[in-house]
Amino acid sequence: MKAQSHRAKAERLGRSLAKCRPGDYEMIIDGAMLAVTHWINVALHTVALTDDDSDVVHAYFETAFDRQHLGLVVGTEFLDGLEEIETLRPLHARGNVAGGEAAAVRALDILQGIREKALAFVSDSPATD
Amino acid sequence: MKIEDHLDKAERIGGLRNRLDPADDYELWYWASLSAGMNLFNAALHHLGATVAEDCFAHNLPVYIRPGAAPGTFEAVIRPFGDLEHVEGEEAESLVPPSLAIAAAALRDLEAARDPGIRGDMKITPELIDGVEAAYVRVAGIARLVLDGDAADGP
Repeated sequence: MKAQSHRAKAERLGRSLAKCRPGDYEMIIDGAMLAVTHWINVALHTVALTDDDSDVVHAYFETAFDRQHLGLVVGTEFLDGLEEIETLRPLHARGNVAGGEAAAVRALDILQGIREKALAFVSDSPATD
Repeated sequence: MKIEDHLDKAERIGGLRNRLDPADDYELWYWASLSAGMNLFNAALHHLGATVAEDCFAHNLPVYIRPGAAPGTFEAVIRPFGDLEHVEGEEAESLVPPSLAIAAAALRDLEAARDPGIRGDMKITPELIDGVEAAYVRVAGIARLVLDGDAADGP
C-alpha cells in the first residue's frame, strides 16, 4: 500500500482513538498497534526502504537482519516501539492482568513518538482520507 | 481467560463499538467488532467445555502467556487450547461444536475482511460495513444463546 494510504489509515485511527475512554484500554492498545504499523510503513515507503507491496505487519515477523537494516536508516525506535506494544497485547488486550489503563497510556505515548518520527520523513503533502 | 473475564471485555469493547461511527471510525469499529465477537465466542467455547478456561493469555498459539508467581512476572507456556485468537486451521476448527458452527463461520467472514480493510486499502463501502455488522450480530447472538443454555444442540 502506498505511503499516503498508510498515512490516511494512521490518521483516521488516531482520530478514532481520541474517542476512547481509559476503560477502553484493549482497543487503545490494539488501535495504537495498528496505527504504529501504518506510520512505520509511511516512513519506510517514503524513504524507499520498502516497496509499496512490502508492508511491516508485526515486529516479530521481521528478521534480525531486517531490523538492523531498517534501524540503521530510519532508527530503531520504530520496530522497538511496535514490539513494546505487541508485548502489552497478550497481557492486557487478550488477558486480564492489572494495569490495562496504564498500558494503554504507554501505547499512546509510543504512538505519538512514532507518528512524529514518521512525519519527519514525509513532505508536507496532505493526506488523502 | 475465565468466562466472566471474556464477558466483561465483550461488554466494554461492545460499548466502545456502539460509540464509534462505522464509516468514520471503520478500522477501530471493525477491530472492536472482531474482538468483542472473539471474546463471546471464546466464552461460549469454554461454557461448552470445548476449550480450557484459565488465566493463560493467547500469544500466537499454542503459546500462551501465564502470570508468574511473583506480581508482574510472566512466562510463555504451551497449553492445551484455551482462548483462540482466530478460528482458522484444522486444529482450531476441529474444536468447534455444532452449536457454534454458524458463529465460527461468521467469525471467518469477519476475518476475511481484516487484512484488506485494516492493513490494505480496500474501499470502505456501506456494503462492507453491513457485512461486518451482520457477522458480528450473528457471532454475538449465537454465542449468547449458547451461554444462556438455549443452544446445546445448535441454534
